[in-house]
Amino acid sequence: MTSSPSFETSINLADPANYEAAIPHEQFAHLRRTDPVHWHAEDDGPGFWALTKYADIARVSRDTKTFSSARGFVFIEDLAPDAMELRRSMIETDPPEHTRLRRLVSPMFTPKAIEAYRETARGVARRLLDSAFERGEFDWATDVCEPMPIRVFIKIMGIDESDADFLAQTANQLVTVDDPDLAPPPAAYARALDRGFEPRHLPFRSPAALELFDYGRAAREDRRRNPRDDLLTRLVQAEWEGDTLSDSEFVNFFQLLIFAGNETTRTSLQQGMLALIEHPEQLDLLRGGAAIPAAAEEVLRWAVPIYYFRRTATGDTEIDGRSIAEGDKVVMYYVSGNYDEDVFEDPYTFDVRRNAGKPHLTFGGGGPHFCLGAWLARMQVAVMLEEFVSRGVRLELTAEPRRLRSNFANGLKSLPVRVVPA
Amino acid sequence: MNDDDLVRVEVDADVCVGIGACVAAEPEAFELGDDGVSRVHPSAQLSRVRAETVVNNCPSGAIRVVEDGA
Repeated sequence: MTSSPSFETSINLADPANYEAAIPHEQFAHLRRTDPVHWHAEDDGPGFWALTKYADIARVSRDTKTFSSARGFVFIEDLAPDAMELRRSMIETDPPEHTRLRRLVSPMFTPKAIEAYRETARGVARRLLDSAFERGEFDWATDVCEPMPIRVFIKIMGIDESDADFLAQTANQLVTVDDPDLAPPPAAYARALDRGFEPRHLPFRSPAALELFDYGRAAREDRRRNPRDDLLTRLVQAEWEGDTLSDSEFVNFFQLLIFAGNETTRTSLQQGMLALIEHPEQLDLLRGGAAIPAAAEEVLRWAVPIYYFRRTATGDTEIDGRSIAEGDKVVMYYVSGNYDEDVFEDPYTFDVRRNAGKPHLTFGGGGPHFCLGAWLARMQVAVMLEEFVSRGVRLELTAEPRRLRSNFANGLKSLPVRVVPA
Repeated sequence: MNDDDLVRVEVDADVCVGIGACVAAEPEAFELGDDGVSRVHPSAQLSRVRAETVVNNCPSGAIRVVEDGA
């Protein structure tokens, strides 16, 4: 086993440009093989540990006492303490605070609760497929995937469908700050500054977060006057030992839910279709009756919508023999763990009949931060697969897909296709 | 100790965050309360192999097998 310093020093996992052409699988595979707990230098920070092995990611995910989400937040870049308090949401807390916030909403996301939205999702999928297939040539990423998850999610929230596109577009701008094509407009940055907010201190460093805060506050006022049986009302009425959520807790929770209910499932639907286009024999297997739930899990493994989340060591510790110091940043690369050869045989083979025996890391490596919306995402991916397969057609590319420039999200900006007979 | 032996399981209510993997896998044994915490039906027993599967598949690590005499 020889390491090649020149290749290794060229690896920059924090650089958005490194993900523009493709996921840098070769770099992650190199690190898994030669330096699985890798000290990664940072241009404008102290550096971080890059975890690339499944087992290490699972261990750190579950040990919230040693590896905190609250202390340094969950992104690579560090924040000033006052900025942290402004933008802390559930994913930036540890137990028991995390447990309190999570339980306010978790009953709405159980398998049974989600089942009630399956037909909603099916109706949305059918409408979007009908309208796209009528045109024959369309953009799978923006015409079908972008409108779908937000429409299902706001049904759970209790938000009217007329606001779906506004919320989807605003939520999109949470992860596009590093992409010149889709970044929020300069005016949005100026408005944030006028209101006294440094944009880099806002969630995802995006001024779009402020617009979601405003929308959330207005919705909160409405539900205070007109309570309903929906997730928004639950958040507004939520009490813990006599206290309701503070303004900051509420708006950050709202912003987090809209982000998570929109972006991640959309990416899975995009990358899943690209995989079926590039591996047409897998679509044939589905048309021949291969099980949809297993195929949905493979789509989720393959798509890995979020590349990483970060933790911060609360004390001196070790991972896989490497000494980690208190305060060190530890970054869990799910995008690497999902392709770890020790867990997934032939990891670069897209296999709708895969049965790995262990879950992929797309919902995280376990522990209390395991994706709240996991059942909702699985259900929507399965519904879209069912609905697409039942049409008896396939899609072919009419131009190269365009990837989002981001070190965090595996989104597609466009996936231009035409419908052809299967 | 056989895989078919019936064992009891318990949920640590301080650790459970209500993901519901247990309820999906073993709906006869587990139920999610309105507080978002999983509960084991008082009379529920699982074969050891199924109990260990549900323990290993809990993302939060909130479930354990109750060992006799423990």
